[in-house]
Amino acid sequence: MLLTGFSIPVDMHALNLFERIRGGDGQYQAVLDGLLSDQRWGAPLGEEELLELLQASTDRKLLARGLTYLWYTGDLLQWTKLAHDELRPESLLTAATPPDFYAGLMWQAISAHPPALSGGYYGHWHYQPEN
Amino acid sequence: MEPLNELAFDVVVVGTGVCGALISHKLSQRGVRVLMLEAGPDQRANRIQMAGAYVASANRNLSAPYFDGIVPPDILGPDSSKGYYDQSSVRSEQLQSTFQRTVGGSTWHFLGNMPRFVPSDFELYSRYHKGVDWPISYEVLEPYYTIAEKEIGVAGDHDAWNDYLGAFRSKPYPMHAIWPAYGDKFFDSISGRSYQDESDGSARVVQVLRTPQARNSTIYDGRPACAGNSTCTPICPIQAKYDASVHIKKATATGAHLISSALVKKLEVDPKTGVITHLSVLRYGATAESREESLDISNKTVIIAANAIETPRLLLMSGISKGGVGLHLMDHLQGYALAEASEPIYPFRGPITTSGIDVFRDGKFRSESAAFRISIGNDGWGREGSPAKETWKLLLEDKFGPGLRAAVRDRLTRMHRISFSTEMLPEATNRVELSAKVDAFGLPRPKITFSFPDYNKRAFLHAGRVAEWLYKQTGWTQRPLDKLEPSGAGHIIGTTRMGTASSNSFADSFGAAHEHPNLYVAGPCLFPTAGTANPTLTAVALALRTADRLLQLLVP
Ligand SMILES: Cc1cc2nc3c(=O)[nH]c(=O)nc-3n(C[C@H](O)[C@H](O)[C@H](O)COP(=O)(O)OP(=O)(O)OC[C@H]3O[C@@H](n4cnc5c(N)ncnc54)[C@H](O)[C@@H]3O)c2cc1C
Ligand code: SF4
Repeated sequence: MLLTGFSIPVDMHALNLFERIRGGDGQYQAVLDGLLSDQRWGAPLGEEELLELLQASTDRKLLARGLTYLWYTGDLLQWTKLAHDELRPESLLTAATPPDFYAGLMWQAISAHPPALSGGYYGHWHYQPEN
Repeated sequence: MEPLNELAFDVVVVGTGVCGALISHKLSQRGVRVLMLEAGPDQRANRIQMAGAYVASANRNLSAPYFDGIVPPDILGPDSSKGYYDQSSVRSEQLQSTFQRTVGGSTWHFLGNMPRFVPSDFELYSRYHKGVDWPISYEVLEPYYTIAEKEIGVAGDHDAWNDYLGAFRSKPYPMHAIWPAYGDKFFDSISGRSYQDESDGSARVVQVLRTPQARNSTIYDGRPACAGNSTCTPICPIQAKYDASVHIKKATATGAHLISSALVKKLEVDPKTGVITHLSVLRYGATAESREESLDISNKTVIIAANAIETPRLLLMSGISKGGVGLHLMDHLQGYALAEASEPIYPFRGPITTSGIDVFRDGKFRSESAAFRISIGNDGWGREGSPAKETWKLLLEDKFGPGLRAAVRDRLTRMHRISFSTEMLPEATNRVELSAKVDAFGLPRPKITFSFPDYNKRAFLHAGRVAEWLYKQTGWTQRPLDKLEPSGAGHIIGTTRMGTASSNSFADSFGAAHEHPNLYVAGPCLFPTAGTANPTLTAVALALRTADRLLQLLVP
């Protein structure tokens, strides 16, 4: 919730993907553990306080951005291309899986659906979305 | 593999795109024995997996669903700039459009817009002293347009289109128009306003029309209604969008014989009579191991429906060049304008465009600058700003949590795009030749010479002014563009054009080659000029006319 604005449980799949992209060897688990065990984490935080918390280390900010991006988009390649300079990926993953992509939160955020999985009925695009 | 010479047939069709598939169906339905040869593999059973492969793919390009790990990628979906076409490295001088090699051809990945040409498109020279006239008129093709719309399943608004720009319609569309996207209503509200066109001094009524589409608005021909999956290019997961596998199934059900992974590499010609006597066919299997066969066709008819790159390439590889083979290559060069809407318009749901503005498809200005068709987008900023890219940009602005969620919603639900496709003129210098470089089969790759002509550059400025006016009318904020670079529309046209004699063309209006009694060609390669309509409906109408002619000749 703090990172994405959605209530979702912390998801190890995204962390694993992040480790692989960065060529990490478990150190991001430690960064994540550090963040989660920070006593300010979990308390209601304003935008500035959250940023302060994330800025505690470069790794922390990088991880927060990376995980949030993965949760939002499920989209590894766009990420590695775009975020190349900042993330300096050691390995470019060549594919996400369809479930990763379909689960991206950004589609919910904009009241749309992931391409190829509308789950909708004919004509839904004609109306204002319900949510 | 069954040896080809053991098969009994009267007509051989090379290429199973929509044109080849429809001709095969029409002939086999009347008892003509048809052999269909297709260079690509048969992937028809894998539709859902292919849609999944697309979303999970590295670069989500047009060919992404079709890679099968066996056939070299440039054989399946030739990349326009790397690997297959041999062409200039300067982007504005590249043909950026490509095609698909698979059973069913390029309709698998096409968008499915289905406007007709308008009458003036057939008379560009007589009316505007540009290009050439077609050897047939709109009136001649009109009955075939109605059959084409029924065969393909086109959803459209008959009343709005009847007589628009002089194009009468003798029959309604088989399905009602696809419902417009939510964001289109902002353009509907300005429809009917008058635009003072500086290009030729005229005042034009700008009407917003529902674009006719090869996309079901109801259950049709055993296929479901569109559910708005938004991946029409490069694949519709539920086949609500037409693709030529529809007619391949119908053709084989009526007796046509389909051989996939069979690439025709050469036609043997009798030098005295011009008759095509043999086809050299390269057949490859799951292991990509190939075998060459020579198919005797001396007393048969051959139809090449291999698209406007591969048809001339095959003819040139066979030593056939008379009648301008390979010349007059055209596309609809595309540009766009972007805006931020003043309120959410909720794109990324449903077909990527449902409405357009067609009034600039004809006018006196065509003697100076190209006509164009405008599409109103429903896919945000298209290639210029994918949802993922915009999300990353917001993260770089240190947005997190509820603030991020709100910012993503605010930015992504207000992105809008207008694109325009401009008509290219037939120029002999824009062409397909044989390269000294070879493809994965060891055959010469197509060498492409292409340009961004002044006629189109002027149209880009014209369309840019119209887009600015449109966004002003909606009250939205237009985003400045830093470049005026064209992209391809996928509409590969010309290269074996039709005309009255071999001095000006390769074939007649039925697609019959002037110099080869048993050879026909089908597809947008026959068009003498490009018009502004997406080409497939017109190519299909012509192919249906070719099939009629062949039935007259072959069925007593
Ligand atoms: C991104 C994109 C969007 C498009 N959107 C639209 C649209 O909205 N509306 C529209 O009207 N058009 C659209 N088009 C264009 C449309 O796809 C083509 O006009 C149409 O599919 C051409 O059909 P065809 O039968 O002539 O050729 P194709 O469909 O290309 O079929 C030719 C077939 O011949 C086979 N072949 C080639 N060479 C050989 C050989 N030597 N031996 C055996 N087989 C061979 C190929 O493998 C292929 O299967 C789009 C194209 C693209 C790329
Ligand atoms: S919008 Fe989706 S369901 Fe509709 S035609 Fe396109 S891909 Fe198919």
